[in-house]
Amino acid sequence: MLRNLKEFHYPATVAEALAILQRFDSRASVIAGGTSLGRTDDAKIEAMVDISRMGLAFLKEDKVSLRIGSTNPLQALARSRKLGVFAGGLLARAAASQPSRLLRNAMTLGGSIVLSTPWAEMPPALLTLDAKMIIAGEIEKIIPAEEFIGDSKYRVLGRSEILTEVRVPREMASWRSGYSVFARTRTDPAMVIASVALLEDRGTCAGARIVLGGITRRAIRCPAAEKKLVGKKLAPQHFAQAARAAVGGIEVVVDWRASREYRLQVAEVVMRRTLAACWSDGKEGAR
Amino acid sequence: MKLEMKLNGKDVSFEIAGPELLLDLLRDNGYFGAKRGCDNGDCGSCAVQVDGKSICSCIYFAGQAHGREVTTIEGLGTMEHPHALQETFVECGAVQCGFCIPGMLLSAKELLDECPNPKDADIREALDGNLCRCTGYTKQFEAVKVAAKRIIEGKSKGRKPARGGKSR
Ligand SMILES: Cc1cc2nc3c(=O)[nH]c(=O)nc-3n(C[C@H](O)[C@H](O)[C@H](O)COP(=O)(O)OP(=O)(O)OC[C@H]3O[C@@H](n4cnc5c(N)ncnc54)[C@H](O)[C@@H]3O)c2cc1C
Ligand code: FES
Ligand code: FES
Repeated sequence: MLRNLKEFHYPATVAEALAILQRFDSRASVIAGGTSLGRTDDAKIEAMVDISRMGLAFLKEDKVSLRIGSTNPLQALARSRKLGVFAGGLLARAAASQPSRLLRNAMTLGGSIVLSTPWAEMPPALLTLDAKMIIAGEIEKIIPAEEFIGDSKYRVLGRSEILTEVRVPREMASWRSGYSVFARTRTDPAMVIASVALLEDRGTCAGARIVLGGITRRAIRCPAAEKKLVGKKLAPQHFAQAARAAVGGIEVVVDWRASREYRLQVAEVVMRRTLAACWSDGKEGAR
Repeated sequence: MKLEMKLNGKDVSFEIAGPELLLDLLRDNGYFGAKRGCDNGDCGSCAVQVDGKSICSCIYFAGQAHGREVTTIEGLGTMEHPHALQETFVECGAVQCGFCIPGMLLSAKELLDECPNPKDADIREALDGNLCRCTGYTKQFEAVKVAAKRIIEGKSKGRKPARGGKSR
């Protein structure tokens, strides 16, 4: 419980929110959907800065990027028509894979990135699409997903900073994608997330971005696997080689659910099927 | 701290403690429709609507609801004038112990407000956070479909308020 929490602030602008955070120093916390904070125990927190009323639930495009505001609830992203077609619908599918409408209605994109649990659904998809995080603070920072995701909360993001939006390069729009979650049940944390995007040029793979999540402490890109695909006319053996390469040498997170060996074996199979499904536009492969 | 919100259509204000959760605030003030099940965001028995979206009130600070519109099951219909969903849940035998039902009805109402003629997959998706220990969900899905039809046909057994429009 946040036993010393005394006040809520409802800023209308980012500047107002930053001023409140600075005033309270580390005694204030940003709250977006609040789904992780309701059960948090932190005696330092005296004030909440509710960032859900600052106009950050937008989704728009400019010349170079698809721009997604950080306080969009996951349900809005899962339902978005724009996200349903951008890069084969990868972001919409990732948002929809969080398994409860009640939670998707509250959980925000920003919250899921800042928290970045190993099993978080959005970070692997954002890494796959080469997203950039826009941080408001004393100065505006633009941080690539690769640097931001999964790092300890306040190393990259300062305590008085706010993740305001995520930008995805528009050139990713035409990539195909695949996204699979493997978990014991639909509501259990993911043991493996395979998130991939492939670019096709006249039957040849012209680009690959392959990401594993769930099995590792943070979502990771798998360059060795990508090399197995780029420049080739893809056939099933390439997906098998890439999947093997993806799990090679990774540091596996283990808990009571399953052993390291089991997770590695499942990850390889899930990745192989996800790649096959992606290349065939969902006509082949698994779920 | 002072919390002001619209609760089931009425402007209300409460004096709350900072860490107070919306579920506690509601139950302490006689709104017992929202149930405490898992107390962890897993079961949906505490679901209420905030600005028309169903959320788990057990992991939602009361302070987050400031200035917003909260609807509990008490605001959905009355004994005399039940909402179409309340009627069809009874008629279809979708209720056993009833513990999950307030939350499930609010999730179903959100669905029908957004999607008046839902497909099976839409119903599944809309209710995927509302767990029921008693039924097998089949009757509840059926009840949502019958209510949708009834609202579209606008007849609801000739009674008026079961229109499924805005909550009262
Ligand atoms: C039952 C249950 C199941 C869950 N399942 C999952 C799951 O499957 N996958 C998963 O990834 N997580 C899960 N979570 C954890 C968590 O609720 C989610 O990660 C959620 O997306 C957090 O979003 P939020 O908007 O609710 O964040 P909040 O709870 O509001 O905030 C989370 C943290 O991020 C900070 N923060 C939020 N937004 C910003 C921002 N824009 N800028 C700076 N800081 C910010 C807050 O200060 C806080 O420290 C689950 C939680 C519960 C209760
Ligand atoms: S009591 Fe809130 S989700 Fe179970
Ligand atoms: S009717 Fe008993 S829990 Fe659903």
